[in-house]
Amino acid sequence: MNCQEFEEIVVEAARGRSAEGGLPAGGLAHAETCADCAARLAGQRALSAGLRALAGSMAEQQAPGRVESALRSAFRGQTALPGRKPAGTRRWYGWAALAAACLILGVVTVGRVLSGPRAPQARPRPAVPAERPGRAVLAEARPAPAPPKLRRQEQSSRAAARRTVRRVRQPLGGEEQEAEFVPLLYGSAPTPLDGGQVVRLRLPPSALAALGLPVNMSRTEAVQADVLFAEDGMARAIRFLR
Amino acid sequence: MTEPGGAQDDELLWLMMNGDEEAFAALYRRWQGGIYRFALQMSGSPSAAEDVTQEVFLTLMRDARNYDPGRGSLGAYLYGIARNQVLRWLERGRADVPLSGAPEDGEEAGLPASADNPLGDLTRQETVEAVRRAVLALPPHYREAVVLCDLEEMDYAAAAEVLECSVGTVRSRLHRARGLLLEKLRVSAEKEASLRKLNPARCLI
Ligand SMILES: [Zn+2]
Repeated sequence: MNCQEFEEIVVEAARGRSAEGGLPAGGLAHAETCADCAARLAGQRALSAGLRALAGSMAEQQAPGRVESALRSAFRGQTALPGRKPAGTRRWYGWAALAAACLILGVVTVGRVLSGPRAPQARPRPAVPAERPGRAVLAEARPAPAPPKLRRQEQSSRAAARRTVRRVRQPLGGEEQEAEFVPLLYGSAPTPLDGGQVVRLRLPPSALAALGLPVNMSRTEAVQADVLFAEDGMARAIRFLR
Repeated sequence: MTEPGGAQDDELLWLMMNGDEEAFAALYRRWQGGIYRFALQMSGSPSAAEDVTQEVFLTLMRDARNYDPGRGSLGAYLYGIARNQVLRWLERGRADVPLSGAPEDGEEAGLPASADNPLGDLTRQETVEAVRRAVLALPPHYREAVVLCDLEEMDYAAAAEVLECSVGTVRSRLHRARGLLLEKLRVSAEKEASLRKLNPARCLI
């Protein structure tokens, strides 16, 4: 065996993945007579050991329990809706995610109401946060400045809703501006609504999709929006802040 | 990509698509650990890994119909989603949160080295940390080969499914990645050794 042939087998041998499970006899003989290849072998073996140790140190790592809880809530949301059919037969995921988002947003709202408004000053973020209770939920909420009234005519037709959705699909960013509220339709004609509670949220694209809104899923930034919750706790309308 | 014991992935997936929450939970528990570790090792950020894991299973919930068993295993499908999410995260330049204590200013990813073996004992705790940082410093397409093949111990065929490339490409990327890792670790070890010579008091700490 020459140096080039040795180089071709040394990685797999050091990884213990060669056909022989290690270095073949010819390779061992070469390493005994060639200092360069012996060093190459020692380096690869040390690297394999280091990588195994790293893998071992992370073997127990897994997603925090709150992720499963949030996902289960999202999943459960869909089964709570009437008329649900198997996923293969229709686009149930929109409803699933919608219900989940409403459920989660409702929880966030209650949490915020109970804990009161957040102090405005920013806190330094720890390098490795031990607990971030807001992460597993799909959105982070803070109280909106003022509860608006939802105009009845805005809920009058699906066509109006679609027009409004198109309007708010413009790129977001820059100075905060409030768009008009867009009714969130639940598969039937919107019902009149005189008021409700508005919560300001940061919604990731997945949550927007969950609300049945057209979203470019290649977007990754969260979007700030006001969500109007009716008395029954359901999200009824949304407006984006630009 | 093999799956642990119990019901097959396809069976659980079918049940999940018919509204069985426990089937979804079983799939989640079967795959979340690997997905989370993959995202963590690729990003170095626990919060990013958490987001990626959540997004992978939300996608499964939403778009399970898009999974085609004829094109690969469910595991490869899930890792593929995770990979896309991680690459998007990396493209945004968000690799700013260290996995654990990053070296302070002027401090290298030091390796205790000896004259006999400049790489030292790579299984020691502090050197595990150095290996971790060296992996994170690899270009993403080399990093993912190391993470999948050496850290998650996938075989080349399974990694090729995830990375959507040939087995030969996985193999050559892994070999190149290991070469780069050795180079980084060797440089770090040599710097550490020379620092010790200049500042022997440091060794007493
Ligand atoms: Zn040689």
